[in-house]
Amino acid sequence: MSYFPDEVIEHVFDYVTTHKDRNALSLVCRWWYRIERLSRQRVFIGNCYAISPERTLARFPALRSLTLKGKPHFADFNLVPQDWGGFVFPWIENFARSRVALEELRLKRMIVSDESLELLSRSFPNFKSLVLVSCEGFTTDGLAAIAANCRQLRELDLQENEIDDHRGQWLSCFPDNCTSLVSLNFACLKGEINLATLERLVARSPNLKVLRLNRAVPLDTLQKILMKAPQLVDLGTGSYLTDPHSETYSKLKIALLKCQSIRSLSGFLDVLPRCLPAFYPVCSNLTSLNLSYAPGIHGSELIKLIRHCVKLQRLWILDCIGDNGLAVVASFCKELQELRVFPSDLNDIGHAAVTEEGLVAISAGCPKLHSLLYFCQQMTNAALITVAKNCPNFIRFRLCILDPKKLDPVTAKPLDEGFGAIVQACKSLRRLSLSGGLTDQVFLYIGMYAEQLEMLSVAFAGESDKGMLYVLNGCKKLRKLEIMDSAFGDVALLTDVGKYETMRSLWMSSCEVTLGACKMVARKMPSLNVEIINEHDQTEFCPDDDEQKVEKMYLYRTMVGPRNDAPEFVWTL
Amino acid sequence: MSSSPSTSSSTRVLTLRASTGERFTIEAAAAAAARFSSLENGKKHDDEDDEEELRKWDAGFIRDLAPVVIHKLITASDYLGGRDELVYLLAGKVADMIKGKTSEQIMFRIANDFTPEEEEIRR
Repeated sequence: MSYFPDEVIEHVFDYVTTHKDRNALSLVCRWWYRIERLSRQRVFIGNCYAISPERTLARFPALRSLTLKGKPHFADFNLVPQDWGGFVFPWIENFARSRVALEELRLKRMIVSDESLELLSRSFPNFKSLVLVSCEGFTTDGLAAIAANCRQLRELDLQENEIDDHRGQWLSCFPDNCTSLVSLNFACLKGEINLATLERLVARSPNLKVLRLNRAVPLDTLQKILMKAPQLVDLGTGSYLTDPHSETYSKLKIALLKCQSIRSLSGFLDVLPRCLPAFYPVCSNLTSLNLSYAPGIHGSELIKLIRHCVKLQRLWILDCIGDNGLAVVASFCKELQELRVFPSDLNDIGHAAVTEEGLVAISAGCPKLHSLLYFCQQMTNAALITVAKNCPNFIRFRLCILDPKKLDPVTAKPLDEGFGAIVQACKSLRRLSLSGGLTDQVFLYIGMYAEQLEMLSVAFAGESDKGMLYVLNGCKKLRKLEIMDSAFGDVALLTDVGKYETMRSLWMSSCEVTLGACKMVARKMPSLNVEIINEHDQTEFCPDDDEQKVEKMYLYRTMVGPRNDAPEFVWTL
Repeated sequence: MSSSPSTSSSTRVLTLRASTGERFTIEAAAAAAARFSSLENGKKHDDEDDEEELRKWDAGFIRDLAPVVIHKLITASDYLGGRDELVYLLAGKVADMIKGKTSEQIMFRIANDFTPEEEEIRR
């Protein structure tokens, strides 16, 4: 069966680029599988241990762009030890040896060494784009190698990485004839920057669209940069402090008036709110605003800024905006699609930040909202039911009530009904994070209604194994399940081990799962790696005592068996 | 390969005759061509501009093309050779039809929507 000639199929496939679509094409028939695999250039690997570099290249010889993810998501909550794994070096080393025409590398939660970056920079003459998110293990020396050797570099995007800043001159390593930069983000770097070098680099990069500065870049330099780069589309300010009566501030205002293309704004790591009005002209064009690193902007200054952002689609903010501030967002930002409210002070649970009121206001005022991450003090069932009615289009709904197991403060009931309303109304829901007091009932609802659910995060929830089983049985599209501190044990884990082969991974920590049950999963399912992570009391951990509870278990499907780079405290069964 | 358009007041039938001698008659293309030529004020009609006109179809027309027609056009184009732009246009349309679908849905669509005539021919 072909229906179309090969060459025509290739043309059709050229237009199909997302990995989900590509995967679908590859399953239509053997013919299409072959054509697809020979033409796929962008490869996405959600778990770096699911496959090897060799087999990846064997299947996709035309690979030019690789996305790799390492540690599981709960690493963001410090649940995964630093040296657990996720090393990128073997991939780079293999690709270099195989002379892959690598152009793009995007890594998330991986360990990246300076050696890897040096090898990367020397091995791929067409290399254009490096995006590192939540990675660690490298220093500015590695960045220097990238700057110096990647002649075609267009993008260097560093997001939330732990980088050892040697305060060297990595920026100076961009050669004078390097004019190809389109995107440069070094906001997460902690050290000093040679400001003159930065200005010269910007001046010779006419295609620069994205520039996110770190704290070491003062307002004075920002002003000079903006004069040279009015074409910027995405700006992250560094330190935003100056005397509002100064000439620098006047010049900044003039520069910003010329920056008509800025659609995304972030930064303000240090800030003098009185100087924010310079950005008001920019605000009216903004589609994305990230103030989650700007605790200095709050109160009336924050409100004044938000009022100008009438085209905003994405807002990342700290909870010091308060319910009142969220009400203002709901009034002015009618195009809002994505909202993230981060906790400003995790230690101070008492202070009033945002509650269910803010969320209800947002849901009423922003009908296009589809993605939410909301850290709050409390939530009620009534509020969640209202939110579900107002916003049935949620794709991502992540609620994090800071006080675990907190019940509905009005009715003193668990939040089962509220989350139940969300999953029932939101037919497109793909990602859900639960919090607050929850019984098995919420999982019954999830299993029944959340048909599109791909990722579920659970903490301090459930009463019995039934809860987890409702989800495993009901959610046919489930790919990632992560559970901490919940009452699920061996029966839940063992009832349907075949299910785990249809998923990317399962994480369970501080649950009721025993070592014996984990061993049984490993025995029955050779296509899974079942890892026991045991970093603390290694002396107390007895490998033969099947009755003991397992502190952390991470299992994932793989085509290449147990990994050979696991540290001492990780035991693959 | 030759193409011989014949004009009438409301329809034009474009006939593409492949070098193999097969003839594909594309009525849907006719309706569009009629709309196109009526919209293009002052544009001199030219036989050689058939390809040009096909290339200039607007997105709406492409969007409304029936899968059967797409299949005919795209396979004809391939035989005709050198009709890259047309192939790209149509390939894009086919791609739009299969994006976001599961493999089962794609299989179903390809088998059922694109070539129902194959069933008829077999009968």
